[in-house]
Amino acid sequence: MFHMNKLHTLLLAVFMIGLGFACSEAEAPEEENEVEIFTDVELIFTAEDGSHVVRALAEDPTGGLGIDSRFTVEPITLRPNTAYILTFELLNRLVSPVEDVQKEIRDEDDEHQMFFEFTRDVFSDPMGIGNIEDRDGAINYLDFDDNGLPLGLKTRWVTGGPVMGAEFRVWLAHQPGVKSATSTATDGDVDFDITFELNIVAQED
Amino acid sequence: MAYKLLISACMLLCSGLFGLEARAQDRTFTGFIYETGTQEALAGATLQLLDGDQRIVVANAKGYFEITVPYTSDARVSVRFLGYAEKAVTLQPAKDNMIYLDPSDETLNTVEIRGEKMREEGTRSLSVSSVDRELIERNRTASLGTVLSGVQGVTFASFGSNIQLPVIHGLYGNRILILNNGFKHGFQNWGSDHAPEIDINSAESISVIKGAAAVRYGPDALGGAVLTESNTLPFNQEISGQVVTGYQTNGRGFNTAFDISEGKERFSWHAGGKVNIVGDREAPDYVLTNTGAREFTAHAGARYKITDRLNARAYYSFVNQNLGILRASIGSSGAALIRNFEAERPTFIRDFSYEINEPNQFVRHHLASLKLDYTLNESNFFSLRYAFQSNQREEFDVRRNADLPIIDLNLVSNDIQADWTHRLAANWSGVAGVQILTQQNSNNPGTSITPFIPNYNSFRASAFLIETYTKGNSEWEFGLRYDFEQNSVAGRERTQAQFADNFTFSNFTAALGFVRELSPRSTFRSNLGTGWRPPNMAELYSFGQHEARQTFGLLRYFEDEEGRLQNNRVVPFNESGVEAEQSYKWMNEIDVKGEKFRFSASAYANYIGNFIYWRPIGVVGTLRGPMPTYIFTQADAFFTGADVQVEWQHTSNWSSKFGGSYIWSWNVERDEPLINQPPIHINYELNYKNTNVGPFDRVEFSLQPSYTFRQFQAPREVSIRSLIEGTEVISIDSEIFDFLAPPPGYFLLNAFASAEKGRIGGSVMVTNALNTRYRDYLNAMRFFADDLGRNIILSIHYKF
Repeated sequence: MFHMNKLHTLLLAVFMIGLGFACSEAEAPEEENEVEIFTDVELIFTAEDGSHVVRALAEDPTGGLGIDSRFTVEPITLRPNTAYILTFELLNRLVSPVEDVQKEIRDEDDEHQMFFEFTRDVFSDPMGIGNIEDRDGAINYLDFDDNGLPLGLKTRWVTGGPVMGAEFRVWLAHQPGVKSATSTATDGDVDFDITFELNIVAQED
Repeated sequence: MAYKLLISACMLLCSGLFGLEARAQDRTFTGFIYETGTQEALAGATLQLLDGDQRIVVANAKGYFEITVPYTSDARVSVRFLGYAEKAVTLQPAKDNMIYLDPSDETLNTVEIRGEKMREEGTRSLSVSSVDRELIERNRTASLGTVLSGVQGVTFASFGSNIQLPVIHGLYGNRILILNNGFKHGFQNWGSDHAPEIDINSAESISVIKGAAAVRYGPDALGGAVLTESNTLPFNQEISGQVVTGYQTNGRGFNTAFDISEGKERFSWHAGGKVNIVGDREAPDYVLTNTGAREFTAHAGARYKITDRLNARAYYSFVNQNLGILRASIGSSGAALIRNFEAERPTFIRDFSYEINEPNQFVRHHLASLKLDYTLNESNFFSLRYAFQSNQREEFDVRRNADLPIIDLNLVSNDIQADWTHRLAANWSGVAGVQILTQQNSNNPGTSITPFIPNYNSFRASAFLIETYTKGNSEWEFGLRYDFEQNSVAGRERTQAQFADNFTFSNFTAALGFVRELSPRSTFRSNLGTGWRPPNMAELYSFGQHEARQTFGLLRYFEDEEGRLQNNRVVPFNESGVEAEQSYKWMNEIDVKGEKFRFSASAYANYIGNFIYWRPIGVVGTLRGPMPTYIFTQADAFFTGADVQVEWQHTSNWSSKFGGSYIWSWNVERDEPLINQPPIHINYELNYKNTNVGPFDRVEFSLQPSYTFRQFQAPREVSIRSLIEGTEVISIDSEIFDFLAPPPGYFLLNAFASAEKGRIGGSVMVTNALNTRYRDYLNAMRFFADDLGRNIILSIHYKF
C-alpha cells in the first residue's frame, strides 16, 4: 500500500495545482492601434472662384466592420462648367479624440495614391473616365510625394454640362514599397473604394 | 551491437541473393517464451514469421516452441500473447532462444485483436477503426486529416492543400476530440483553417472512434475522437529504426524522416523527427501560388520500469509549421474578392516557387507529458497522467500591415488525468477517472488590429465512471460523466474599450452500450449516448476581417427592436440566450469476419440541439468595398447515415475492398439544409501482395478508384453579384445560402506500389493519377481554384 499513499499525495497535489488555475481571471489583451480606419470620408469640392463649397459624405460608423450595413453615401451635386479643387476630410470617429486620418496619409505620402473613376466626359478637364481602369487616364493631381509621384489629396476638376445620375468613384490605395510611376489602383491594399452619385445641375437663380 | 547488426545484415543480404536455389535447406529454430517479471512460461503465445509464408507456431505448456524457417526467409519473428506487448525478435540458430514478453500496460483496459487496435473501456460498443503504421508509411507527409480519410465515414474538410481537419459523420472541428498520446491536443481549434498540428509520423497507430465517445473523453468528443498513439516502448528490444526519404512531384517537395528505438531490461526509449519542404502545388492547369509548406517535427519518449508494478513514461513532441494559403483566395478589396470568386482561373498565378508569402500561418506546438502506470494486482490498474502543451500561432494576411501577424496567439494547456481500471467481479469491469484541464489563451500585442478572439482562461473538472457487465456472449456497457467548466474572458471592442465576461457550464453525459457476439465470426454493437459541448471562444467572440471574409461570433451581433442586426457592443453571455450543444446519438454496427471476406456496416442517427454553425449572411457594404460576411448561429439539427465496408481475400495474393459512406443531414429547426456537409463517397481498392518476387522479398501494389458525388443537400446558391446589385436581399430569417453551388461529382484514381528487399524498401504512390480537374465541396479553396493535380510520391527507406 506504500505506493497507494504516494499516489494519493500526488493526486492531491495535482488537484491543488488545478484549483490554482481555476481562480485566475483573464486579463484583457493590450490596446491595439488600428491604423487608417475610416468612419467618415468627405469630399470637399471648393469652387475655384470661392463662390461656393460642395460637400458629400460617405459614412460607415462601424469603420468598415459592420454587420448592419449602415454605410451611407451622399450624392455630389456640382454646378456645370465650373472649376473645383477637391480636398478631403478623413476621420476615424471610433476612437476618442476623433482621429484625422489624413495626417497619417500625408506622413506616408510615398505609400498612398488616390485614384478616380467617373462617367465618361462628365468633366471637361480631365476628360475620359479617370485612372482606375487605366492608370494613365488623365487626373489633375495638385500634390506629390517626395519622389514626385501623385498623392491625390488635392486635385482639380472642371465640370462639363448638366447631367443626372452619373458616377464618381474614389479609391485610396495603400502601396507601401509598391507605389511607382507605373503602379495601378489594384496594387497594394485598398483603404477605401467608394462610388458617389454625381449630379451636375445648373443653379436656379 | 554493430557487429550483430552487420552479421544480420549479411545474413539478410545472403538470404536475398542465394535464396532461390537454396530452398531445400530450411532451418529449425527452438526456444522458450516467458513473462519478463515472473519468468513464467507463456503457454499459447504465438510466433509468426515476419517474412516468407508468415507461418505461425504456438508455444506449448512449457512455453517451448519450434519453428521451421525456409532458407529464403529471414529468421525474424513477431511474438504475441494476449495481454503482453508484441515483440519482434531475430532467432538465433543452434540454441534455445529465450524470449521474454512484457505484460502490456493496457492488459486491463484493452483487448487487442489483429487488425483492430485498442478498444478502451467506454468504447467497446462504439465503432472503432484504425490506421496502422503501414498506411501511415505510405505517405509520411500526409496530414492527419488526409490519412484518416481512408476510414469509412471519415473524410476531411480542408482549407487548401496544407490544412485538413478530420470529419466524422458530418461533424468536425470542435466536435472531434483529437487525443495525442492520451491528451486533448491543445490548439486553436476553431474555423476550418486550423488543422491539428500533429505529425502522423510520430504515431504508431491512429484510431478513430465514430460515435459519441464523450463519456470517456469529455465534451469535445461529441462527434467522435481521434486517438494517436506513439511508440509503445517495449522492453528488451534490440536497437532498431529507420531512415526514410521522399520526393513528391506536385509541389516538388522533399522530405526526410528517421525513427530509432531501443528497449533495455528496465528502460526503453525512442526518438524521431521529420523535415518536409514543399513548394507551390499545382492544379492540372495552373500553379496554386503560395501553397507551399515547411514542416519540422521532433519527438522522443522514454519508459522506465521503477518496479515490476510501477512504470513511468515521458513523452515530448514538437511541431513547427509554416503553411502557405492560396494567394488567390485573398482580395485586397471587396471588388477584387468578387473577381476572385467569379474567376474561372485564379486571379493570381505566378511561376512555381518554394517561397511562402502572406497569407500564411506559423505554428509551433510543444507537448510534454509524464505518465505513471501502477498495476496493483490483476484487477486494479492505476494511471496518472500530466501534460503541458504550448501552442503558438501567428497568421499573416495580405493587408496593410502584412509584416505584422493579424492573429498572434499563445495557448497554454495543462491536463491532469487519473484513471482507475478495475474488475469488481468476474463479470463486472470498468474504469473510473477524473480530469482537470486548464487552458489559457493570450493575444500577443502588436498586431495593429482588434483581437479576432479575446484572451480567456478556462478551467474544466470532470469525473466519469464506465462499467461493463458481461454475460455469455453479451456485454452491457454503462457510462456516466460530469463536467464542470468555468470561463473567464477579456477582450477589446473595436473602440479598444475593454470587455470582460465570466460564465460556467456543467452537464452530465450518459451512455448505454450493448455488444453481442452473434457467432464466433460476427459481432453486433449498439450504443446510445448523450453528449454536450459548450460553444468555443471563436464561436462566441470571432470578430473581424480575416482571410477572405468577415466573421461575427454569437456574442458579437444582436437584433435590435426593428429586427436589424447590430454589432456595436459585445453581448454578455448570460443575456445572449446562447446554449451549449446537446446531442443524442444512436449507433449500430455489425461486423462479420469470414475466412475469405469481412463485412462491416454501421448506421447512426444523431440529433444535436443548439447545433452551432457558420453561415454567410450576405455581402456587407463597407468603405473598402463589399465584403462577404458570415455569422455563427444555432439551430437544432439531425444527422443520419451509414458506412459500409466489404473486404475480400480473392487468392493468397489478391484482395480487394469496397467502401461507401452516406450521410443525410437537416436543420430541423429552420427546415433547411446544413452547410458544408460531406457528400456521398464510394471507394474501391484492389491489392496485390506477394513475397519473394524476382529480386524482392516483398512487393505490393494497389489501385484505388473512388467517386465523390455532388452534394445534393447543399444550401441554395446566391451569387455575390446579386447581393451587391440588390436583386437578392438577405436577412437573418432568410433561407441559408452559399456564394457558390456545390461542385460536380468527381472520379479520382490513386495507385500505390512498394517493394522491399532486406532492409531497403521503396514505394511509389500516385494521387489523382488521371490528373482530373475537380473541386471538393469541403475545401474552402473551391471558391477560387481547382484542387491538386497528379502527384507522384516517391519514398525510400532503410530499416536497421
